[in-house]
Amino acid sequence: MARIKLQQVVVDFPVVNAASQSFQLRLYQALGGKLTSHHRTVVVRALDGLDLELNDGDRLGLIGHNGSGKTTLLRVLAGVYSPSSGSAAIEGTISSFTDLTLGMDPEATGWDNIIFRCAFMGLSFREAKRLSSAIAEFSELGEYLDLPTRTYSTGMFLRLAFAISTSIEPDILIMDEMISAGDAQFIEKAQRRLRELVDKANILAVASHDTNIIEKLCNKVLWLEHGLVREVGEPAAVLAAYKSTYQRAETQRG
Amino acid sequence: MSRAISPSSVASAGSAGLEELVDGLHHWRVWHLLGLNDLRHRYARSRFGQFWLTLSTAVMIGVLTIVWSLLWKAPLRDLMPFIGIGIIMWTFLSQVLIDCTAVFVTHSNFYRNQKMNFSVSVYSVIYKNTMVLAHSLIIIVVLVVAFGVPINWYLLQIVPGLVLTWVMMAWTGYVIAMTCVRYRDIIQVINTWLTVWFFVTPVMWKPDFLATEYHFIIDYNPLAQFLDLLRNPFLGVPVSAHTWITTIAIALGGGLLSIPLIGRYRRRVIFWM
Repeated sequence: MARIKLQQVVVDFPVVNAASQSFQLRLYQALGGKLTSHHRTVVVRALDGLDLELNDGDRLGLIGHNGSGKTTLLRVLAGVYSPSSGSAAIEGTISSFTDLTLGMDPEATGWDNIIFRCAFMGLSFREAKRLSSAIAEFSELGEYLDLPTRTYSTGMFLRLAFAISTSIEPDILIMDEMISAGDAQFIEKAQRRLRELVDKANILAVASHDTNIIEKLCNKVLWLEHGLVREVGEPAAVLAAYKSTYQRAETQRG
Repeated sequence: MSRAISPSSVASAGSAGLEELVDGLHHWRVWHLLGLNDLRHRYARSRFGQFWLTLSTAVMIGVLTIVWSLLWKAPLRDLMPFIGIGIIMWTFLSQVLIDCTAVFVTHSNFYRNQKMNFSVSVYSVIYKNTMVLAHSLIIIVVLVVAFGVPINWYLLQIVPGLVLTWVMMAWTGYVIAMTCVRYRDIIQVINTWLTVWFFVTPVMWKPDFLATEYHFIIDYNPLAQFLDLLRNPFLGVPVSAHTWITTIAIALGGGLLSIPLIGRYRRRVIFWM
């Protein structure tokens, strides 16, 4: 059972630049300096009163331009950001595939990194050990696993990260763009594995610029614009509206 | 921005703050690994590994106290255990505070990608520095044995002493980390301040070097009190009632005051990173 319910979610980012972060400025203000005109904290509103309800079986695709609030929304769903106002209730275990290498250490061996990454994802050391042979096999890294991961190529490191991260089945799966790793042959295998994970997850939330992926994976699409819901509903309808607006904008610009 | 402070809002902030600290403890695997990673990186690929910690501390203590005893014409037997254990304990206390100033920024990528209690970072700092302290235990043993410091039941005071120190470090570290991630200038303030603090704390000098009318420098100095709490057991000397009362008051009282503060601001921390 997994459930997500967002009600009137607002996320504000305070613009904490050198000036407002500086204690000196606060001190000047306290002493009645001339800088009081800068007193108001500048905020960027990334999400502006968003309602969303997801239940078992929902596969949500997020579309929208850069800066429309997709990543912010994914982070709210992952529990990373708490709403500045409104409420977010999230039930179920979460895997957030926004950084597959979280917890991994280049100085440690591949085997150690399997344990580290699993522990960061919430497994006990015993559970991690039990999974490690299957992960090793999937990664196809063989004896390289005995070496520190800093000796790996980027592709090999990502293959290991992918193998570990996808070996745990969450209730809620969150992805910012589709993940993949390795060479052509491995990509195919990775996509199969990812597909399985997506099918087993109760809820999927994926943000992508690739409408084909959204069309293939999702049964619900949310189109964000400036932190607001532009449209939400059946993939076919929303994607069609999105594409036509996008293309119109393109031709106007071109 | 400021909201009215009512008893109920303090109570709910308090329970949120307590939850933050307790939940972080449950993620012990994560802070254990974060702490270990930090140590591993510093000494990765070096032949003696983390024993450089012990080695460099031993060299520093040896050279410093010899110079000191020549300067002051004081017997080495008097100075060496006191200053040696003092330096080790001061390093433990101050390094936790210094590490906490930067820890939220260092771990920011982690928190942006996974929901996790920020207290985990603070615990990783305390854990790492406790392990460094454990490495230095060899030096303490050598000092105690070589200079014939009495080993007695007072040694057992280290157990509650260490627990009190951890409690103090948990809330102080969190408050420092939170303040420093919001106001980056505080990082420099704390670093400068600790250097000054080192000189007004009896690490390199004994309290009896100081005229009695200046003893308030020690009596009202929280770090000096925690230093005595950790140092006396190894010197075979009882921890004074004043030190017990002060350190208990700081560890528990400070904790009670800062828990609502932590609860109030913990959700903002991610936006300051």
